[in-house]
Amino acid sequence: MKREPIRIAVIQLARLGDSVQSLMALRAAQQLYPELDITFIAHKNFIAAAERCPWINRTVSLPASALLENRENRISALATWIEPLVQSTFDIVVNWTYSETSSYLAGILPARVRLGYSRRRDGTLSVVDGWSHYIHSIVQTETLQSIHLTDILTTQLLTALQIHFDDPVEDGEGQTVTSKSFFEIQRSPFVCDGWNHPGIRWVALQLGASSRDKSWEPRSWAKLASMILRRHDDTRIILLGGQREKKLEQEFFEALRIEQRTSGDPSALFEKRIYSKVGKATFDHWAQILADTQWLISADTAAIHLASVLGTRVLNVSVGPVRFRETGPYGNGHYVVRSPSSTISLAAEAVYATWTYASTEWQHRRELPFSEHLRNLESSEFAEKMEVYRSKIRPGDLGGGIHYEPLIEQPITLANWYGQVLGHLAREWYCGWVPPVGQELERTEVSPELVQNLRKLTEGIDVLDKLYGEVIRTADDLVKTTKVLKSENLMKVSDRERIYNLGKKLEELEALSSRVGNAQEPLKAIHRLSQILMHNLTGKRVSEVAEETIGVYRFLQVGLSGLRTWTRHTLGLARPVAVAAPSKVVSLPQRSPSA
Amino acid sequence: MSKQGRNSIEETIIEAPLTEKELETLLTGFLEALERENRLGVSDKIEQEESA
Repeated sequence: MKREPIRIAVIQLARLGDSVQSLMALRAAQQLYPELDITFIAHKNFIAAAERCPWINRTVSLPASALLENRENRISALATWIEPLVQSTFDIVVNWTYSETSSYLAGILPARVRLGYSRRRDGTLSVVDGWSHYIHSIVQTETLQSIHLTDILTTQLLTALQIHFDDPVEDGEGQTVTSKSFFEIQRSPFVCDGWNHPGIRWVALQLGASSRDKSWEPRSWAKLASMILRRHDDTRIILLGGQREKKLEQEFFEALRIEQRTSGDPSALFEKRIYSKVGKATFDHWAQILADTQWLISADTAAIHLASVLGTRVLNVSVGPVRFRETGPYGNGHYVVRSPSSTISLAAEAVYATWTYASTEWQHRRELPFSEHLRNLESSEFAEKMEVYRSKIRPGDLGGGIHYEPLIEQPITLANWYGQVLGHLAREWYCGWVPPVGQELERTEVSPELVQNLRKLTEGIDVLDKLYGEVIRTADDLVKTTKVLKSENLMKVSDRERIYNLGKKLEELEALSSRVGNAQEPLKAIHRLSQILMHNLTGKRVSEVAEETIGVYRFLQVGLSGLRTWTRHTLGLARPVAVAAPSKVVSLPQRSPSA
Repeated sequence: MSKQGRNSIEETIIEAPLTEKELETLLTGFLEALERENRLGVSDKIEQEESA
């Protein structure tokens, strides 16, 4: 049976990497809902990726600079740009930018269903769907969480489609989103000498990052390149980057020359084995290189997302304040390497060790512990100065989505432990599905410090839970009191006093919850969520607001209950366990009771 | 995914088109926010090289 088209407008006004993540989520949704008719709105200079997707029905680019330059007639210029978009009502408007500007655009476009930040008619911010509450209160704060953004966007859209439209098509499951044909690009017949040679392995190094503090030093890139070229005869390197990476490119080659001089390598070792496309590649050429190279090694750039959708393996050199669990390379078998602390810089040897481990998986089948690999490279001293993760898509019955498995055993910090808990809670809250508790938490990760923190946390959870229970009872009294009133304006003095007292009690309970919620780091996120949910109540009458309040605090209690279960589970892991006795046990003679 | 996930979606249905005044409020808000983002380097003017 033919399904009616679902007209959807997707607003993505962030940068290219965000656009590619949005496209990945859209592709996954479209495979399950082929009737999606997609309009993709992006900044003029970041629209290239969407324009190369043959499965996107139309793209609309925002000429931001032109609109802002036109000081005289800005409003009318904007109205002219927006006019084709407001001609008819969209079935869904999705704002995946989560920014102020995009929220206004989401408020202007006529829609039956809105997801993401939007604006009410009076211009105030409107955050109405659950995943947007989660993004507002957790993802856009300091609190770590473990769900990848691509998974959040996909789940958000699929849930809306299932609730408001139809079930997904049956044969849509199991298709892969990432593939070499994700984009339709104009391929160049020539990239560089040896590009298509079957005996040559190419590694692309993408210089730069989305911001300076997330960049890896050019001398570290140079050292890594020299290690690869010196030790792997079959490998060549291609350097990538935009115009603004020209300076980094220069510094890279200067550092490489120093490397060469210091190590006394003959110049022929590097000659003709390293090519630079920095500042020279168009989008199509860049995508072609990323699709054809065997490996991409990159810091936090759009290239890691492009390579991910193109099915190329990625080694993400995660530097600075990057939340790789949210924005790391997506798919199976990618690697992330980072320093465990901001005071330790990530060494080229650590990145090299990760790349050699990753690129020889076929040989060791991942049965070789990473620590042993470091020992083989005589680089054991780096074990404490690096963290390594391998990406893995969970099977559907374990909740799906991406997970980054640690390859070096290290105790988990409270922030990362809580990140896992939040990922669990979000899936319970917004997908209506409960994953197994602690499925990705190993006993060896639980440190005495974590145990101590969790014991303290248990007390906080109990206090907050009691307070939330009291809020529910008080709000329930308020519902009962106000529902029987004929009018909320005219009433007996005794009723007015009772309503006033209940309102005052709610205020006091909220202040108390705020104090308890802010006292411990893991409770802060739940407290922030309570504030956002209460801010977005829609009821007009006191009884309606009180009923919504009950719903909000019951929802939060689900979170507290999940947090308690996780705490108990983790404390349980830390308890000593009985070890199976060896076959020949020598029993100690029993002591007499008097001894 | 289950339909129990209903609490994740609270739709807003625009029953009537925006009035001229409401539209102007939102268009002005959009332009002001765009200008702020542009100053901070979020929009295309500053980051244009990233696409290559």
